[in-house]
Amino acid sequence: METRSDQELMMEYLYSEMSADEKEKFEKLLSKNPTLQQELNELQGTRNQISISDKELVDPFMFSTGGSGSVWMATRIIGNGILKPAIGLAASISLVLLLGYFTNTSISTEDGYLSVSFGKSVQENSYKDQYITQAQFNVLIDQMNDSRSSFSSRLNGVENSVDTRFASLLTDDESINQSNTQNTQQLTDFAIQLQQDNLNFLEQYMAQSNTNQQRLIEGLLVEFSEFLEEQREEDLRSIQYSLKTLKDNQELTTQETNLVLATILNKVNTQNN
Amino acid sequence: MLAETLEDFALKHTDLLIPNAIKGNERAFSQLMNLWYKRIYNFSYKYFGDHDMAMEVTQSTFISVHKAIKKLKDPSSFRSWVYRIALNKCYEEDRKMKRRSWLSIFQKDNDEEDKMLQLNHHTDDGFYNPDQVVEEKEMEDMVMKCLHEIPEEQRVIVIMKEYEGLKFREIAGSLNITESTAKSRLYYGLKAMKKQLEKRNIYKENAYGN
Repeated sequence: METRSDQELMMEYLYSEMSADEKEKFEKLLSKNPTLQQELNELQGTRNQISISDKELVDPFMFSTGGSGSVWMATRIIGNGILKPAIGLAASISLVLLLGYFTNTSISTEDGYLSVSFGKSVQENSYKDQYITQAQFNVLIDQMNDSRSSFSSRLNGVENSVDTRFASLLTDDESINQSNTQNTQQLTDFAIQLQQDNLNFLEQYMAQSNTNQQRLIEGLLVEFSEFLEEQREEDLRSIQYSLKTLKDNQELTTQETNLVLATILNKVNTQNN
Repeated sequence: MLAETLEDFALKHTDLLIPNAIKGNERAFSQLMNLWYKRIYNFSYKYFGDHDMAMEVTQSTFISVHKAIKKLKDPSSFRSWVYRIALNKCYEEDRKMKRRSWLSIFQKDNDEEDKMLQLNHHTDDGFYNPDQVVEEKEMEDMVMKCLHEIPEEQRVIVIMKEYEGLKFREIAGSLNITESTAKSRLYYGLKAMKKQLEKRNIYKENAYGN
């Protein structure tokens, strides 16, 4: 087990933080102590194993201060890809403009129209506005007046047709009223007839129902009276049996009493003799 | 070694730039930051094993450095001071993104752009050897994984000493511990790394060479 001092010495030796004298002394100590030398070799071996090259993939920072003392760094903007697309877009536009220059591309925005031509002059746009003449204007006005007259005549015709139809509808209204009265009378008669039929049906049903109920009750009464008669006869037979049993018991008791009296009498006679 | 070259270069110029940056010279600060951002980025990257987190920490570190550099009284302590700020930013980000596993770095290996950038190295004779580069990349990934398996207090010191080349005095200043404690933690950190490597059967040719 190494002491703390040895640990410190080994670290200083490994990382060259010893003075020349200290280094010489420590190397003498190592030569006399193979265990310490072995441990030092192992530590150096570990150092060799864990060596890693730096990951220097970052772009340089662009450091700036704002007017209010705020601080920002453009590296993150570039690194996050915010600026890269903008730069790419600007480069693309520049390339297009350059090509346009060499191919004699002409771009015009006259009269509010965007015109692009490649090697040829911009031709007059066929979609530009065209002014009409006074004669054309008058023709258009005449056409509009004709259309208005035609429309007015057609409108009057439609109005007349509507009036005629409305008048015929008013005439038809009286016949409709008469028809409605007749229909109402027929409906009333039908309802009265239907009501009478229902009444008759109910009377028949009730009469039929009463007869059936009477028959049923009579049957029940007969059956009940027969049941009572049977019960009464059963009770009588039971009573007769009980009386007979009682009579038999009484006779037996009499016989026993007589026997006892005879025995007593016989004993008395025997004692007297 | 590239890291040592950058380190020497940074040190040489840092001493000249710090006094001006402390006085509020933005250009001096900008140059100072350009000398140091890669070191802080690599430190953060090794701490998290994640590019985005490392970028976040690097950026917030230099914003804090910009705000506080006027309060730095001893320019010679700049090195330990800036690492202390970076480490505190790492702790902050770690707390914020606790649920995010450091293992994400190994899932990100599928990122083609990242992979191509990482593979974009050439051998000394000028010929590109993809097998060797891939092998080295895998080895580095495994070492990073081992690094994140050891206790955090040891990992920080291993990164600071082994990869960032800070003196024990500077590490002690950054972490507010004694030099003796720093050496002890480094000793146990290397031991822990050895165990992790052995657990994964990782052996490297020339491992015992000096």
